[in-house]
Amino acid sequence: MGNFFEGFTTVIDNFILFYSIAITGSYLILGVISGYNLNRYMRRNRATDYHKIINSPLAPEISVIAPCYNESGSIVANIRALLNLHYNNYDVIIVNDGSTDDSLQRAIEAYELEQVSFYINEKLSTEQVRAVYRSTNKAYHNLTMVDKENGGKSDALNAGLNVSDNSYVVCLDVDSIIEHDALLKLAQPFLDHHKKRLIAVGGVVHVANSCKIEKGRLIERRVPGKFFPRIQVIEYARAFLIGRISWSRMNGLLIISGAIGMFDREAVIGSGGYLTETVGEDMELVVRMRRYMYEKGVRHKVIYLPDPLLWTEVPDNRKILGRQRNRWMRGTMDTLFVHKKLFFNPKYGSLGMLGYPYWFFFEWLAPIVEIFGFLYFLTMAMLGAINWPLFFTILLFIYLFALAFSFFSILYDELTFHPYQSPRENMRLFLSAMAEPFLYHPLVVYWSIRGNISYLRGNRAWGSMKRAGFT
Amino acid sequence: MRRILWLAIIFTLLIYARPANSWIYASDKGKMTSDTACMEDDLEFTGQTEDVRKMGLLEDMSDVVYRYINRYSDNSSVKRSLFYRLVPFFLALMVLFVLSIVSIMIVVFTVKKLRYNRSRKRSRIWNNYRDILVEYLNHNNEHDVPGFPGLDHQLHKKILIRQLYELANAIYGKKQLKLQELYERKNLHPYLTRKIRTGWWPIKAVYLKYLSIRPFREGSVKDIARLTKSRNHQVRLYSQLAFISHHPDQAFAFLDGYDYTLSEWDQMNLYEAMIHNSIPIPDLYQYLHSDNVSVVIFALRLIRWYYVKAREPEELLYFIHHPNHQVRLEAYKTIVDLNIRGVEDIFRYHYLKESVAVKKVMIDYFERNKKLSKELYQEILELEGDKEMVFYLLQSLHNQSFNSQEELHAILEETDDPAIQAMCRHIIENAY
Repeated sequence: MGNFFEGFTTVIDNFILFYSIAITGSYLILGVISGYNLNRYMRRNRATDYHKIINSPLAPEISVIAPCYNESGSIVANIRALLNLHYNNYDVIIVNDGSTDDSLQRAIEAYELEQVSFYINEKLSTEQVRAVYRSTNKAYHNLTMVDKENGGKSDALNAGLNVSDNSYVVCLDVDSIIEHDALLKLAQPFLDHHKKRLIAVGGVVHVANSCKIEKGRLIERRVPGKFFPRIQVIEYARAFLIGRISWSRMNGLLIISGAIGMFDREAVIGSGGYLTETVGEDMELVVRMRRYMYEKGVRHKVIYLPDPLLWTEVPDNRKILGRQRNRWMRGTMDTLFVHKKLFFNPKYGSLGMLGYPYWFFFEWLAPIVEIFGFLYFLTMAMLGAINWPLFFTILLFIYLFALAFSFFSILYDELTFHPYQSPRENMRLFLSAMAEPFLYHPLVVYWSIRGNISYLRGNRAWGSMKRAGFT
Repeated sequence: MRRILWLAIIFTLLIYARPANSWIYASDKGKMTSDTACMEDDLEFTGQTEDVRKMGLLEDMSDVVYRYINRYSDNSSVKRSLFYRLVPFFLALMVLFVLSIVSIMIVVFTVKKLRYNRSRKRSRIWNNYRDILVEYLNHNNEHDVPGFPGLDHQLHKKILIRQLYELANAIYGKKQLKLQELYERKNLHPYLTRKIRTGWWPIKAVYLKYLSIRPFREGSVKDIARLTKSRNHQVRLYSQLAFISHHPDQAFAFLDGYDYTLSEWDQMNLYEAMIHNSIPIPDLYQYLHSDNVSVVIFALRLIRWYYVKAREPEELLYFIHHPNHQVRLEAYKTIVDLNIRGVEDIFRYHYLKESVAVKKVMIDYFERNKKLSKELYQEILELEGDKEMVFYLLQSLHNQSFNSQEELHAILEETDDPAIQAMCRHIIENAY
């Protein structure tokens, strides 16, 4: 019995050890690749003048599609911000996804909209479109408002894609704050890529809580005052500046954030548009687009720009944050299961051999392994089989690794776009990073496990995501 | 900033390069004896002799950790576990992480401080020079070039060059000539060329970009022709822009035997440089014979943008048979924009074989030449299954002339197809 127990614990110990080495090793590799990529990007862009695109006959035509649902308080200011972007050749399509408040009415009054006959080429099936509005004021000639039955964010985006007739679309959250030069930065890679077909470009999303915002414009950047949003600043920096930038380099990206992304419209429609039956529509779309391209034999690329293009309000309380993480996990699982064919499939190149397995093992499985490890630890502790000095050595190692990783993301942020002015703001981030492994990470693991359970129970709902709004 | 990073790296390396055991001697001589005594107590565990004094920091730490682990439980299974055997590895990484964490904090705060100081200094110089430049441009005589305090320093030169570049991008005429005079008299050219010669590629690219506009045109730039075929994309692009500015009479000489692909971004910049510097249009048709497809595409676009008529229509028509779709598309666009007559039948012949983008260009041609009739509409409608194309066709019909607007109304009345009815209503109601 004693031998069996020892053998059993050795197997589990070694599994956890190898898994931990694999995950920390992959993080280290991602950190190095993203450091290299960021450095190269910053150097390359020292001489780049994005404003040349504005007057160029080669500037791509872009439709900005922003779905809105019950955004009565901010809709007018947010549309104004979208109409004032620095770009010449674009239109704005706001899709009112059956709001139950007076969002539509406010937009109609503010922008002098009137209902028009509008032919919609329904390449993607959506809920019924009630009406299309355009402005009688020439100043807003590039604004189109689509009013449709409620069908969710994916359905609203599909409706916007049907209405658009431009080659490229930028899909974004209407309640976020977009940088005025975001379209220029998103369009530039489409002009500069020639070796492979570029089908999607994403940009870094920053946390806007506590920032000073006026009329849909960001006036002052600040680190959030509350703990949860502040931790998410670090989390976003890690995810975007380290994770996505390095995956972009390896052409293994599975996701372009739903908050902002520019897509080749033909590729989106060709692959079937946004899937309405999932809560992770942004990830699912990118995977499906890439799969479609691989199956058509088109050499393609999906990239991420390190430029901060959008500022968004993140959940500031545990309940809503928990719902969001639960949804993210369900979305991840949905995408991974729907596209299980990609798993280590060389036909799908870096996506199948690198990107998908990474998400499978380290994004989906990581919280499951963590919770399993924790339960195993508790059992061993109760049986008195823990060597505490060894345990604390390993715990300290993991803590220091997590801390160093977070610090690197703060460093990258500072060396590239240094969003915060005061050193005090950085100090607050450093202190939050120190507290994160104890006060925040266990919650994330818990929410992810709940996401797994919800998914297995068949829950496909978005859940309410009430936001406090900008001040 | 780079210097700081290098310093941090060198500092880290120095720490690791210190001689073994020097930590004990250098930092804590007093405690050394007691530590060593403790180690000597555990000699049977480490299996080492008095050589303990020669151990480095990591070995010391491993030893201490192993001692605690063994004191807690003398279980042999613990010693056999991989975790146990990897303790020195974990400790080494932990030291590395601690050093990284401390270094990152130092770097972040130092960079912030330096950036703040530098931006204050820069803005002070910038404002000072701006005032001098405003005075010079608005009041002084062209040859009455003012003095710029501190211009011997690199930072001051950099700022003045940057200001000249920004001003030259925004102003033209006599004032731009004044800027040119200033550039020459202040002897900025040798500084700029030195930077191009000796700087690494991002610096080279920035200074080559400065050379691409008029006030920086004077003076020869060595190696510029060679750099137009550099392996580095940025250096290549900006040296091409500078080349266009410096050699307006042979602006696209670098395209002869050009092996790289001209991306749309490159083409856009080259075209903008030509416009900005009022470069005389070279013989664009010669580039249509290039083996490089991107050069052919660029030439077709320039022919269209500059409206350079072909000697023979065949010169352009040849390209509608090209195997590359983009070349065909550009050829069609150019034919339409130059309004080459008598190609309707050729277009009709190729219509079904082409992509939606090309078909739209063909329809533009018919619209422009008022050749879109209700009959042609019916003819295309029978062939066309794509609703996007039908919609485009109806739009073109509507935009062609007042009479054809009437035809669209007639189609609306006659058709039973609800989709076509919706298209017609859309076009009529949304026409500006």
